Amino acid sequence: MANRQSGGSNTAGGGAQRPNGAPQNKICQFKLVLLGESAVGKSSLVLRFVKGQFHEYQESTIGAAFLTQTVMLDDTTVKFEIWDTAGQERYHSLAPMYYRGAQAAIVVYDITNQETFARAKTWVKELQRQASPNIVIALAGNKSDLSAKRMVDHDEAYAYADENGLLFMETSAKTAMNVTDIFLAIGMFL
Amino acid sequence: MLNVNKSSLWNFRNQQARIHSTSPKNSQNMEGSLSPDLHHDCETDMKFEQRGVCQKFSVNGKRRKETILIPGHLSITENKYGEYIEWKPDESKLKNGNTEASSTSQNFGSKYGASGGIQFHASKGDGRVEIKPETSSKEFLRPIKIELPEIRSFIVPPKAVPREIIFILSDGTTLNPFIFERGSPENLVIALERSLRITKSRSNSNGLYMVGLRKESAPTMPPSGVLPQGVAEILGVLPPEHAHNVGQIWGFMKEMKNDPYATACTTLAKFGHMALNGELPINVFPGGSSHQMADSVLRNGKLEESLNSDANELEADYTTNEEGYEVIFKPEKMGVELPPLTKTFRGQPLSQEQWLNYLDRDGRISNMNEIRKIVFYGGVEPMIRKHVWPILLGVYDSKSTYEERQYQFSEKTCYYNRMKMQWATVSEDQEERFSPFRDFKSLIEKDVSRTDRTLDYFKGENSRGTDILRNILMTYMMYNFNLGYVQGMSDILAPILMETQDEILAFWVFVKFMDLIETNFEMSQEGMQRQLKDSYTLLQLVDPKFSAYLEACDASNMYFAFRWLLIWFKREFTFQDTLILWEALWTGLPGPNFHLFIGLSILEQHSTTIMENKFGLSEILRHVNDLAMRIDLELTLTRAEAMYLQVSPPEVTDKLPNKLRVILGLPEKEEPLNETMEIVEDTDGAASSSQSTPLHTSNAEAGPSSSSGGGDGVEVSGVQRSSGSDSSLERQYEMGVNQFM
Repeated sequence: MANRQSGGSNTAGGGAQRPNGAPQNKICQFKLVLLGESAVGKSSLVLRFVKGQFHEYQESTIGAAFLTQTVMLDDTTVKFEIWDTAGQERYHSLAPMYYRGAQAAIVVYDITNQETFARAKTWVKELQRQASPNIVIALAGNKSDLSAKRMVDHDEAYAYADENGLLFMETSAKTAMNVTDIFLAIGMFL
Repeated sequence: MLNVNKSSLWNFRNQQARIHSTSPKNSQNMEGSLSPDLHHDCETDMKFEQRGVCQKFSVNGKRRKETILIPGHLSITENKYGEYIEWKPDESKLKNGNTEASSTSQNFGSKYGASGGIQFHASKGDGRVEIKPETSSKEFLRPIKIELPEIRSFIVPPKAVPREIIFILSDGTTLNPFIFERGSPENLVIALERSLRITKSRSNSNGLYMVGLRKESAPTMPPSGVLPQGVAEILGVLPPEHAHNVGQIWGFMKEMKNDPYATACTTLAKFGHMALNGELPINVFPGGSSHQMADSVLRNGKLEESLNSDANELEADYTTNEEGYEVIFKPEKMGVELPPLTKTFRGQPLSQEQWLNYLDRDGRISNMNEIRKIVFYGGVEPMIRKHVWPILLGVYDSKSTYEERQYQFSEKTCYYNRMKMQWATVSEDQEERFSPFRDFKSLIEKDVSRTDRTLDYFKGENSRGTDILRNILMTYMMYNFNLGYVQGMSDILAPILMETQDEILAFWVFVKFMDLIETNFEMSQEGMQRQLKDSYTLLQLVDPKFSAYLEACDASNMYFAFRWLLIWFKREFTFQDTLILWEALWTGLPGPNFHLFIGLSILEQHSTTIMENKFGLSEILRHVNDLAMRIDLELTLTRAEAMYLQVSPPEVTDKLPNKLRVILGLPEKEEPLNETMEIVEDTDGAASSSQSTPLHTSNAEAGPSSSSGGGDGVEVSGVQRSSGSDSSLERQYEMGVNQFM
């Protein structure tokens, strides 16, 4: 049951490293759930964060997937236990099981699709109403590499996030832009 | 919520460790060299290295599972941050090594692409397979680096040739197998034993070894000349009796040897009694000695045998919850003794010759039941699937003639085209004011573009396969607008379409299949909830120990099986295996809800691994998801059938509570049942409130809804057989078993 620290800087790249034998640092583990409309890039964000990969044709998630990633934040080892969910409205009834007990959620929308932003807002509302009261919610406007087809204004989303006390970033699982950052921002916040 | 035991580093990037493969000093007399004297090179020490270790990938090939072996080397390294097991592809080999031309060239999709004109081995048939240079993904070539404490367990399949090792990590991840073309897993294990405590699994049957951390204080090396215990057991050098020399346990062990049953009973009874009477908190023994003792005791192979022989009497067990406390779980007895599992066998697929023999001059089928039996045991030869499927699924009546079928097909073609025109002619302007249509269409577009795109048929921008997939799903939306499109349906359609490559035929086969599983996709999700709940109820009957374990993990809602049941295991098997499985399930044999037994069969193959790894809810999900493309279909089908046979004899079903009788398609009994036969209601609310009038069987309650246009004679109705006909079915089924034994 000894404390473990992850070795080396990892994909997050943000961590200080600590030699063996030093006093053991803090280890923090939390449950994070990804929510959002179908095909906005939830699984792709996780895949990028956890494995550094991107698949153009990432298959749809059925049920849920569970992945973990550990990052070093200063002297704290943060372990993310990530629940990646299916996006379609039809499977909405499963969602509470996944966000129950989650300390953080990333609500994802697609910046090229206004409807996914509307759906993101309803997810935020549901979380604020039904998830644990202290849950940290981040809003991710994904597919920022497709800004030519942008339908959701950055400032509008930013203002919405600001009003609702959400972390906010536009991300791209394809180019990796802000992907690690949004997870780390949540980690810092917690 | 600190959990100090689970930090995970999935670190695929090739990081600071720069390994120099200079031959270590003192290399021992084995190919994988061990170097006790660490040589200092930059900041990384190489503690073990084995060349010629391939990573094995299983992918969904064009017609079957393809195995891809990437040559590389495996090593154990240490730097100042910790110790790691690493695997790296052998780049020199990949870039220069293969000069001979490959005999077969196979075009892999971007997902499976690799860079640099690399050649791989494909194990089945093809010999070498060339993967064309594509740079979009290097999935196969990613190095692996795992911190040693992340290893929860590993499997060294005893019979695998060449030898292989499969690591399981603490978050439930199962790594791809490492295949030893040179050296052996044992050498690696010996090296690992220096840093890790390795013990044989309690069940001791499947080559599973548990991994724990060595205590800093404990001697990390065995006395000279003595192999570490786990290794000795692997190598078979030491009998297990000699492996345990911890004095404290010895007395207990001796008693166990003399009278294992009584001793174990007494010990466990005390343990359970105290917990049950509240003399102990339910959470006892924080990660402590009792666990280790139990572990050590149970590790003894002979004891295990004797325990197994009385397994039903003794199965109290424990798992570890998130806080690191052990939770005792005790299986609830159902009061029903099951007969032992019978051995079942698979047969040959239905051949063209057989098929033609069953057709009379006009094309009527003489004995549909026999055909079903053959298909159940062996599937259908691909060449005649186009002819057999529509009859098996009831697109055409089995008593129809060639002529009638031809006529019906032309009618169905017209009907299909009419429905296709309906959606194809909706203008953008109309869509603006037709939101349900627009939403379904958008979902279909999203899913079609990401369904099985790695397979040739669906590959590339606007591939023909993808176009047809879209057409059929859009047309189905018009055919059954109440359901429309739901995620998962594209998965159901893709294998059918790829096999038939016929838009209209695939549509009508899909329609009939959807009739069987429509409840999976309905808004309320009741159908899915019911099947998950039924699965758990069955599990309580066939494997009380594992069901109790799941309950203790809060996993009795079986949500980890959601994907399995929603799309009938399509993501778990290759297309060809999926089709063989579906064909078996389409026959409706051996009885209602057989598809739930497929799930139970897969679980049975992995329950030991799950329990011994002490996986919790999330790790179980991870483990189950990772099983995709690694499940043996033949084994799964034969075990599932054996389990079905185990619970279906009258002497068993007579004693079953109604809840189970309903799942098996039997009429409910009127007289009140004895208390001992009641099943414990699962406490988790997830399975929704139990229905007082349980619906028959889980599938297709809706039946062939709106089967206009001549979907006549849904003779199969297979999975949802009415409960009245079970006795004749049973007899017919018995015949099937005898015939193929």
